[in-house]
Amino acid sequence: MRDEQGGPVLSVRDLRVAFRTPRGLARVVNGLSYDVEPGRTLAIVGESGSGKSVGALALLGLLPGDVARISGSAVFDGYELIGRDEEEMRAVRGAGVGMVFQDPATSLNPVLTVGRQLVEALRAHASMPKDVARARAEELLAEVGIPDPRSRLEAYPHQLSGGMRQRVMIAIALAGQPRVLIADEATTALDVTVQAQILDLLMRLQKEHSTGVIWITHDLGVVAGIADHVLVMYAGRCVEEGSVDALFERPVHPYTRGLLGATPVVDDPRPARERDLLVTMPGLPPDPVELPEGCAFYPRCPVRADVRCRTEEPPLASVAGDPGHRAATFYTPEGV
Amino acid sequence: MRDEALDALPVEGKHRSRWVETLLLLGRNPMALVSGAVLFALVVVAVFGAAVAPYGYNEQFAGGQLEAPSGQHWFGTDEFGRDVFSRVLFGAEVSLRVGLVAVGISLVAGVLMGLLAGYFGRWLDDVLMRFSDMLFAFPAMLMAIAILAILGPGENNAMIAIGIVYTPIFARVTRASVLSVREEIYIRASRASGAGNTRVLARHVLPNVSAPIIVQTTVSLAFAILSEAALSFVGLGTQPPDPSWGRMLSEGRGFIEQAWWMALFPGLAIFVTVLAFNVLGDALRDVLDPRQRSALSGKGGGA
Amino acid sequence: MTGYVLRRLWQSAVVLIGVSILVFAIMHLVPGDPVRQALGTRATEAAYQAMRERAGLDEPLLTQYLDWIGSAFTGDLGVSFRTGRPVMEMILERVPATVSLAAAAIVVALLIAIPLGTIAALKPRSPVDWFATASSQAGLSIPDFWMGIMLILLFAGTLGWFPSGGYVGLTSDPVGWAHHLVMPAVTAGVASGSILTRFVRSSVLEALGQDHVRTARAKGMRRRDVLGWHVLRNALIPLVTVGGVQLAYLLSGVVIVEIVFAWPGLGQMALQAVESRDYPLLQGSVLLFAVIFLLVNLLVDLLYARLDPRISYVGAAK
Repeated sequence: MRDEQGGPVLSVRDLRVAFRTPRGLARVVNGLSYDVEPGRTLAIVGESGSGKSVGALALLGLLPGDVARISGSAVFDGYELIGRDEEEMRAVRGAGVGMVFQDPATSLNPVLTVGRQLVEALRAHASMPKDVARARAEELLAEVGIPDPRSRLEAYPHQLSGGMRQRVMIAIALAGQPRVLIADEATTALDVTVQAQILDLLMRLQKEHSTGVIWITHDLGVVAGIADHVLVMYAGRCVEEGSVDALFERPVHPYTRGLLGATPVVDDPRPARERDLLVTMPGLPPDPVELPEGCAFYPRCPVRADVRCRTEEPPLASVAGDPGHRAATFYTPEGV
Repeated sequence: MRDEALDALPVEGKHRSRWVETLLLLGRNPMALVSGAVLFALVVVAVFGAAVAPYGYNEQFAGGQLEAPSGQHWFGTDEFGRDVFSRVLFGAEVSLRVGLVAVGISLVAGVLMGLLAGYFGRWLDDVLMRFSDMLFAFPAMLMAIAILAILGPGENNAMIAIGIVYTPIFARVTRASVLSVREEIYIRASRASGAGNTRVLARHVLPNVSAPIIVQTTVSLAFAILSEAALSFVGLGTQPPDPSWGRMLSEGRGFIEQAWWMALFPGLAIFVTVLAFNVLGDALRDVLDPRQRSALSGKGGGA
Repeated sequence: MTGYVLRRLWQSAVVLIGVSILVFAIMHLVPGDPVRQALGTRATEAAYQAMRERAGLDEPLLTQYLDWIGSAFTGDLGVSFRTGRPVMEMILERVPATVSLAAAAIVVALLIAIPLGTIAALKPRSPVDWFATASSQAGLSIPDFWMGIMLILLFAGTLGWFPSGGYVGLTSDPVGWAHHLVMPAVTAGVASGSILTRFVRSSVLEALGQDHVRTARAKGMRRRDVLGWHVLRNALIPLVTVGGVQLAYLLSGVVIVEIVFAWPGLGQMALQAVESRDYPLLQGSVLLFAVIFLLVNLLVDLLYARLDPRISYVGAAK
């Protein structure tokens, strides 16, 4: 990543997550590295099961401790996050790193009022009297564009629309004034017009607070509009990363090219960004309990040829003549 | 997150038949194995009681009344000088027979009701389910007592009463599972291909709803045995001199100060038997039907 | 909300009518002549005729039913064959003992279930969890009458801590009331406690896996606040339903425990009615039990609707 604003606020190196399952160890994240810089957006793109959400939850210690094994390093503001106990993690959650989840219908507690859930978030890190917290909660609701915030404090989540609920989620995530915001499929459950409003809101808030954002999604269409840097994940690894321009205009990895609908994977007359990722890619990601030797994408790869692909894992290497653009493939597209 | 990780795991192919699979999984659960062994021993005792027991159930030892447990009488003797150990062994047969017949009644009646209600729906469903609601409006023990007030006390009537009491739970369990499979593709397909209702019910619906019914049967056996003992305890079930555990307990209660063994051992026998059925039922539920767990635990108790 | 309440009331009314028909049928399903059965062979013809007439058995069936149910609404449940006293009066005498026992038993059950079920769910597959599962299996399987007898043997006989039975009125002697109540309440509460332990465990486990609990943790809330406000609160709302069903069972189902502890409650009276073929008394008490059971269930559902803000708007669900 480019280093223009005084260094990254979050630096992840060789993050690995595995789950103990009855069938064996499921290796879901396998050596992920990235940086998040203040005021900029990193998009992590992948199919469901690619490990993109797990990697984010691992940073905050939100995975079930009894079955998850986490290794690697994640330094937030000079502070190592991996290996911390619950109480140490608590100080970072909300205040250092905030999180917005996919489904606002289930991510809010149905039996507590919106106000109560916001006040909770505010008082988790700062000891403030209840009435101060309430006033602040009202401000936050106003800030995320909820009309008539005072009366909304008394509302239960099910009394709000999906878009309004997601605004509440964002307000909760911002309550602790985090320097990094992780948005995990934050607009996936919403319909298109609401999606656009939420995206605008997040971008505005990001500018105002100079927050570093990790945008986790399977939807490349969203990425193009908001991200600075894109990281494509497959089977728990980064297979390609680069600036939005590099990735959309000069994709190298056959998986990324597949996602974008570039030849030679499918012939679909529609423009790439209109298509659903899951439809365009035939086959399924590999079983994390039995990851293949060599390239994890090999079984689905339309351009596999080299015997090397099956036996050797392609390293993430810089693309010649394209600074900051890296891909993990032995394949070199023609004309690049 | 967690779901995603699990979604990524491919589903294992079905190689072995479902029932073999079930037995193999059950075999891995030590508690299920122990319960199975206990129940097997119980069946052996029930069938061969006369051969196993050291004395007859009504054999009286003159001058040997209310003797404490000893090498000769392991569980002591009762007020008539009868061997408590032998009576407990003979009692197994009564308990199992009443339990099996009673649950048999509930099973046949309840499954039939549930199948009809779930499969045909509409007014039949309404009528049958409101009827089952009415039966549910009586606590189990009270309803059994009321039925016995009509039929009169006795072992056979106790079977009928317990059978009626546990019918609605079978009806509900069956109906719920029928509803969940009714619209599945293969049933719609076999209907479309012109198979008659009876055939669809017997060939497609019943096998697919059998898992929760098997679980319910096992658990109901526990409750039925407990109910029989309770009814005999209050004098409405098995009549003297037949060696019913509940009856023995109520006799032992009168001598609790002098002869604790008269009440301890029959009660222990009920406890172990009921526990074995309950543990086995739970193990079966884990293997066959994990989702039913919470749905059923609220009802059916309170005997 | 109102729609839900009305629907629920209507359902209960329908079930209640059916129940009353079943209870009414008791006397008419008895083989032979219930009055003859009740009086035995020694009664004079005049006494027999008088009782038949009082019971209205010579009217057409429908008239009999309407009369019976009509009087029942005004609190008249007929007259006992045995004592000649109004059934309602006899029932009311017994209510305090049974209510005391059921209330104490549900308290025992909740005191077992909430801590044990919660700890078991927070540490799944731990020794505590194993203990909770095993003890709730045992509690569900143990015959209450046997357990009562064993408690009497140990705590009334050997140790002499508690009386072996009998009831003392709360108003006349509160200490004695409590003292007599301990063993029957424990005996009656164990089975419910076991059922509720399992329920609390699975309910807390389910609540722990909810997305909103993850949100609460992501906010950086203290562990105990997450547990208190987001896990337990959500998990215990449905406990109202299951706990209410158990209370209903206890109110109307502690027949056996009452017998064991010579507890002068409704269950004991119902059983005596069966033994003495006192059909009006039996009908009256069974009807009352069913009404209590339905009423408690109805109240529980309505309470649940108030506690869970979603129900009142969705209007269906439960």
